[in-house]
Amino acid sequence: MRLIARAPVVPKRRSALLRQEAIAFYLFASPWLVGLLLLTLGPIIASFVLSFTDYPVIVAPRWIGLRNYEKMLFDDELVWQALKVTLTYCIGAIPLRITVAFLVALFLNLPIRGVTLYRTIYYLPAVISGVPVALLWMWILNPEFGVLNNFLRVLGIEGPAWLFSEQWVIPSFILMSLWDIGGLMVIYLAGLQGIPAHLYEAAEIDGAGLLARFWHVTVPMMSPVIFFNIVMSVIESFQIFTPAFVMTNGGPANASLFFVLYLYNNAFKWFKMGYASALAWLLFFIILGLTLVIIRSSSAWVYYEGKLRG
Amino acid sequence: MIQPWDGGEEQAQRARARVSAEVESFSRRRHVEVAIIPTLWSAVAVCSGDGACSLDCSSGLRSCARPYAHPGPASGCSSSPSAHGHAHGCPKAGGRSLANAGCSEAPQPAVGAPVPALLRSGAGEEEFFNKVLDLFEQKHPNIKVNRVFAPGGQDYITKLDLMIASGDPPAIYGPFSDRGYRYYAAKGLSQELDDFVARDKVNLDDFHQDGLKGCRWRGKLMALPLDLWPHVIFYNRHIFREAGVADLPTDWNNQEWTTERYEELAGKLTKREGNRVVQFGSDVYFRGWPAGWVYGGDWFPPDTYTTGIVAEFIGDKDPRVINGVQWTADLINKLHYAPTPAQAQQIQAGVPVLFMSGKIGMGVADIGRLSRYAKIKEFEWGVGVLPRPPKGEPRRHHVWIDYWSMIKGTKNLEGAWQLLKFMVSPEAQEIYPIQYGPLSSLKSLASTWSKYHAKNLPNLSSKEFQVITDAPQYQVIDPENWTVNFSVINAQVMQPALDKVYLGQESAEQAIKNMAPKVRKVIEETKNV
Repeated sequence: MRLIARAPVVPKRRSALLRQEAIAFYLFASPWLVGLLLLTLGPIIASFVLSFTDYPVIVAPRWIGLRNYEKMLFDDELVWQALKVTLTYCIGAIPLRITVAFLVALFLNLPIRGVTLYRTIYYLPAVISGVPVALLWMWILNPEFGVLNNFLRVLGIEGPAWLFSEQWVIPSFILMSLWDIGGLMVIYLAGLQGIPAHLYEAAEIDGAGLLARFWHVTVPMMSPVIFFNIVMSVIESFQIFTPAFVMTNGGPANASLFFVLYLYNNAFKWFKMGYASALAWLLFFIILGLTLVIIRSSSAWVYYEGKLRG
Repeated sequence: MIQPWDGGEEQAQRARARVSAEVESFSRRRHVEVAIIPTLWSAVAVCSGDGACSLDCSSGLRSCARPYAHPGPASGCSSSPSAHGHAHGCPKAGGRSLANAGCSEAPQPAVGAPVPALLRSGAGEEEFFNKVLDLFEQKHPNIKVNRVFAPGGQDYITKLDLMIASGDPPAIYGPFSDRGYRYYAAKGLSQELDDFVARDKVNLDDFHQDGLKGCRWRGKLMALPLDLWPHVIFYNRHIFREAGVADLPTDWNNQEWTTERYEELAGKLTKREGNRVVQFGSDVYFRGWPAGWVYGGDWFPPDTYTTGIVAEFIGDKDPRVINGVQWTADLINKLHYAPTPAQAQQIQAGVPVLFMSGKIGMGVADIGRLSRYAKIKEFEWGVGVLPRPPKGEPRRHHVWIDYWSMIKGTKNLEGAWQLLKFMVSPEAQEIYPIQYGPLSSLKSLASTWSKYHAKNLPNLSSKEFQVITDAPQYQVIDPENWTVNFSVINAQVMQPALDKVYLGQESAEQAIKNMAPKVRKVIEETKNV
């Protein structure tokens, strides 16, 4: 027997209702849609077109084809310096932030007295905006009288010149990145509190110790959260700008010339808007590539409770 | 037709506004550049993208209509006020050219669109600019000035560029350091002033002549100097007395006062406790590119400052440049007479400027510091001349000069010119710059400056005042203001390379040798403007 598929018959009234619902949806979503089209999508398209032009802003853009990309990839040492600086920072800061935030969240998940106060204290730095934090760290890291070097002196160690040293400026920023782990920590904490207690009880009955419970229950159950935090940290870290802009302006000797700072200098200091747009697209593809790699790798290490493995 | 001189000013203004709005709207729709004649409202110039303009225009009271060729952004549809009148314009900026054209026959009252002026608000300047503009508006009730303020330095440049890009450029502007007006002149955005100056018989002889040289771009007068910020040495008399040394020389022609003597003196003024320096004999004596001038050398050949374009780098071939940079770095790293950036941050804690900490014997600074130093109560201070380079080399110090320029194609060109002319006049300069601090660009006001500041700075002798007022004669304009492409070369290559010298990681010779090919590469990329 042949079965003929039929479109489900929708009653007329229901169809009107659906239409009304759709209209309401678009109406409510319209502020966001307008914002997306005008303030995000428009500039994205404009920057893509401008990346093929020489555009000093005060005169009309001039089409130069792929010359910006050619220069960027083969003829501008500072692009590679900026990438090197940013990559070094990311390699140092991302694992450190991910790990420290996780450990702090584990600590703040313990049933100790005053834990909510501790949580607030740890989260507090995350709500302070970038510039005051940068200024504060300039004082902390001053080699002569900064808190950090004074502390090291107590231990009998003569601290480095931190922001004033080519070798130590990136480690300084990496250290400073621990300041605002509050955001990551809160996400971890939410994840930790979502792990069912019966899993720990079952593991305990099976004779699992503290470390085994952590490794075989906590880590797998937290892997989607770790995955999310890694993706967000990669995106954030590649776009680091404020501390370098305020504290070192890329110095000394370009040792802290982060990619976005170099992009900013091209766009708003030297008004090479076409070239800056090309740089922005390069950064976009780097971040996109890395994010895709992380997403692809997730099947090997991220555990999704509801997912069926084939 | 309504004419302002017929007493129908209000009606005329309304009509102008209406026509202006219509023309603007038409301009946007058709993607053309449109010029309006504020008085003879029927005449409109429509300049198409290919440069052909169908009608000329004027914002003056007299006008003519003639076909003209639109020469494009580099040269503009300019014409002289004496020959053709004073106001013209295809007043569209941003995405397209700011070309203009025009004609009329005689100086006319500037009636028309408000004159937008981009002014600096940094460090209390706003108050003085406002006083000048209040006075201007009193004297020119028919010209309304739209005052737009932006902080100085990079923020000012950003604001200016974005105003131009948005199609609403200021009529007059005065970029300070980082990038001079020549950058805009090179892109065809500056209004030529020769004919205005000739028409109104502005006495150019009274201006600081070196400053005036910088006002010319490709032979045309494109700006006028407003104020001068020469460099002098400020010193702490208390530290000098304690060290038992004489006050600094006050004669710019003193042959004995050289960088070698400066170094000796800095050594005497430096105080140590164990290994720690607790009082520095000297502040950082120029850092970065100005250090290359300290021994009388230069990074670039002399014609750079005439052409306004850095086209060649000779710093690596001039031992005076290398030695000058090395000496300024040695004061910090080898002799420890001047603080490292970290030490400076420590000493400066709590005071706005390092010298005010009272732990610095002497330091070079521009005279913009005077207003701050006038507030020092803790110690007495004085002013001396900069030392000469060693081995009888000629002096090479720099003076910052503020140039004010007009954007080509501004809607009320005559109004803009009247404002610019007023700002550089003795009457206005007695308010800004004199009351604010820097020297006037007019030679005739040198004594006025001294008289005014004698009240606020009773610690300075007449000889010390003369050090300041004479200083511009011995100093030249910096390349940032004088050239189109220096700031990019400096920021991208020179400064990062020189950082290594000041960190003590490389010798000046090594750093300058390393930077040379990179500087030459950036020059190649930027010299064709």
